[in-house]
Amino acid sequence: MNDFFSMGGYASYVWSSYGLALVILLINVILPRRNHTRTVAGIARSIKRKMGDRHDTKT
Amino acid sequence: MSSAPIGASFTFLALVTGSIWGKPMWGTWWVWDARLTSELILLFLYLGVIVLYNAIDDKRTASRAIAILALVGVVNIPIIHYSVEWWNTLHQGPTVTKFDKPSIHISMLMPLLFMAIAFKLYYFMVLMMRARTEVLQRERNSSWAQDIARNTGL
Repeated sequence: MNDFFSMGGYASYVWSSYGLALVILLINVILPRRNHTRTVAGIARSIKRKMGDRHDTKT
Repeated sequence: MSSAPIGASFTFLALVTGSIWGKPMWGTWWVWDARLTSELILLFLYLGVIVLYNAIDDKRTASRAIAILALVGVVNIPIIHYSVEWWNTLHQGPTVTKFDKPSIHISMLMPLLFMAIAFKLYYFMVLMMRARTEVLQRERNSSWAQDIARNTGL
């Protein structure tokens, strides 16, 4: 097991590469998700604003 | 436009992990070798696409502008591919994409192909996620987009 993690003496090179790859893959999913939620919320807000305007003109 | 940030991040990953492995294998983090330099230019092309898109307010004009930039960028792809044949430097010659039998050992070729396909699929998944958001943003005044917002956002 220790042999596996030491990667023949190249542990710091190998595992830092894996770590960086993991971070990049995660960022690539987290950012679009956040962006999508914000976009939907933004459209919802503009609908609310429009509905509010219509209400104002009636009264 | 949905594709550029993914491409930029993957190119960055290739450059940095290549650099990390270059240190123990070649004894240096970086050399101005043709493959490395053309790959760095690829990263800058991706960043250029992102910056150009954000610099133009009218998104239709912006899309047209980055489409042209992307076409210019395609020129770089064969340069990257053949860079290891045209210029002899530290980087090894091609080991997989040649007409001869791949010179890479089968125990390395299999995981390499497997991961290449996995990254391709991952790219496609993220691309679809980003494209969905972009379409929704552009069609935010249409009734179907407002229905989605009403059902999930309110």
